[in-house]
Amino acid sequence: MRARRSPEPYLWLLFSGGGVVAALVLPVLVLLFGVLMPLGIVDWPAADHLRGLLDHALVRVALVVVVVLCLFHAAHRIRHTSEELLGIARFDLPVALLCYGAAIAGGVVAVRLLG
Amino acid sequence: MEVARYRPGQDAEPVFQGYDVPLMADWAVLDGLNHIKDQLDGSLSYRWSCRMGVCGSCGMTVNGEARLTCGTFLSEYGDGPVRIEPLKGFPVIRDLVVDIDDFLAKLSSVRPWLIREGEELPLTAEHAQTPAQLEAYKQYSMCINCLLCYSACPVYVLDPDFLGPAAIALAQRYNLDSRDMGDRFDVLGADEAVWGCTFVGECTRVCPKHVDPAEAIQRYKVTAALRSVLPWSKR
Amino acid sequence: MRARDVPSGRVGGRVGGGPAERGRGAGAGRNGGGGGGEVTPSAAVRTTSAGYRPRRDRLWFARTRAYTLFVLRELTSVFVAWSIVFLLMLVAAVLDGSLAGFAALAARPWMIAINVVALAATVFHAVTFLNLAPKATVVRLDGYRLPAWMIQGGNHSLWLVVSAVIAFFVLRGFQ
Repeated sequence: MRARRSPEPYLWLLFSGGGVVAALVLPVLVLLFGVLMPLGIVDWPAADHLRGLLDHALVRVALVVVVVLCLFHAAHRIRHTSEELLGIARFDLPVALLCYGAAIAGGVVAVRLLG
Repeated sequence: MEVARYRPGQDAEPVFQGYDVPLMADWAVLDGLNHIKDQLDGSLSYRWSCRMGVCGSCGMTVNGEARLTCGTFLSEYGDGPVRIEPLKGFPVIRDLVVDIDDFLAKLSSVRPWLIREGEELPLTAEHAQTPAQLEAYKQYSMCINCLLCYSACPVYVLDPDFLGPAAIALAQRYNLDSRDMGDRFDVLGADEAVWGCTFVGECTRVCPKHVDPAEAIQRYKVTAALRSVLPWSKR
Repeated sequence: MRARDVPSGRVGGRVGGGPAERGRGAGAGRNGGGGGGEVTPSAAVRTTSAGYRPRRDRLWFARTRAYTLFVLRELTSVFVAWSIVFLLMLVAAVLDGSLAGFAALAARPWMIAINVVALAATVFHAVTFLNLAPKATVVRLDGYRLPAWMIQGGNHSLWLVVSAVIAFFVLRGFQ
């Protein structure tokens, strides 16, 4: 006995996974690269050092995973919140396509950069 | 007290009517309403029964918040005025009385009874449970159907198709009962059921019985998600 | 609800006719009740009522502090998305060898302002998300539930460790 196949469980799993990943890794990255380094409190690491990090296959795979999961997390929340705030729940399908489409596009960009 | 009045056929929409009610230290909001009805204006309509937080009849919106009026003291609001409105999210029949048919239909839609399969045991048979088995669902069985969680839930108020907190918690009360053999995935796994919830968490905060419907919903999301991803796992 | 006291008026007659069976979409492969269960009412049961229904409250999120906090929590996702864009810009700059240009852009005052807000938002997201996790995950030990604070404590410790590891590799690494 099973309801019509719905994408919601999969979207929710991506959302939850993304929520955990975003919580664990984003604050420290934004703190370092977005605030402390631009303000000069911490020196920018040498370009070679960052390049060396990115040359690790493991780091690249991890970055793609982080990007995709976080973008799906954001897409899911932005979809629901915009519908609740603006009362556009009747346009759920286009809103969802726009949100998740943008997340997929971001994932493609990440893969092309790091692939 | 400022009380929302809606008299069908007379008012196009609810209007507020002010009443002067003495501020007694031991009066709940419900006592204030009873004072109005007995002494000031017998035409005021509202529901109440037990006056002790058991029957779940007297839920109303008190100063914008869903509360049991029997468990909310007037002194909480100082010298007032206290604004009493019907529960949000439900059609108003008259004054503070709301139409709960939608809620009742949702409750019964989750098959809230013990579903048994296989041989019918004689009525005298016992179904023993260990304390741990009882503890697994007991909290969800404390619901008094007072509707506060629906009224506090923006998802339900904005979209009444949402199955809602109490119905899902009640379904979990049976899902987690060791005696139950039923499967409520077809109802709970629907888009308007657990997937409609965005975890505002207000249902849990306003619940006078500490049922924690928000937790029931999130737990079923995990169950439903795992079942969707792993089709062979039954539970 | 037991013993309802309706001083006047009626409890609105059910127009929809009980748990109305409204099929969940055409072709819903729902087993229309073989075996013991007869009707399987859909989640979308909805009754109609003659009662007064107020119009949609456009400012519902401003009505209580809890609603506002909820909406703010959800809106952190916008900054989660921004952080990812920023991160991708950084990665692209490192791979191009134009890190200096990126550093100059990141040092613009408006950029720092955005990122300070993004920092606050991602921290708020992390705290709320990790705190709410025990609602969905029930860990049983010896038949009884692990209390929520233990799961939350574990989550926050993990957050600290992961942050420290990332900071170590970004700033120093194994030379």
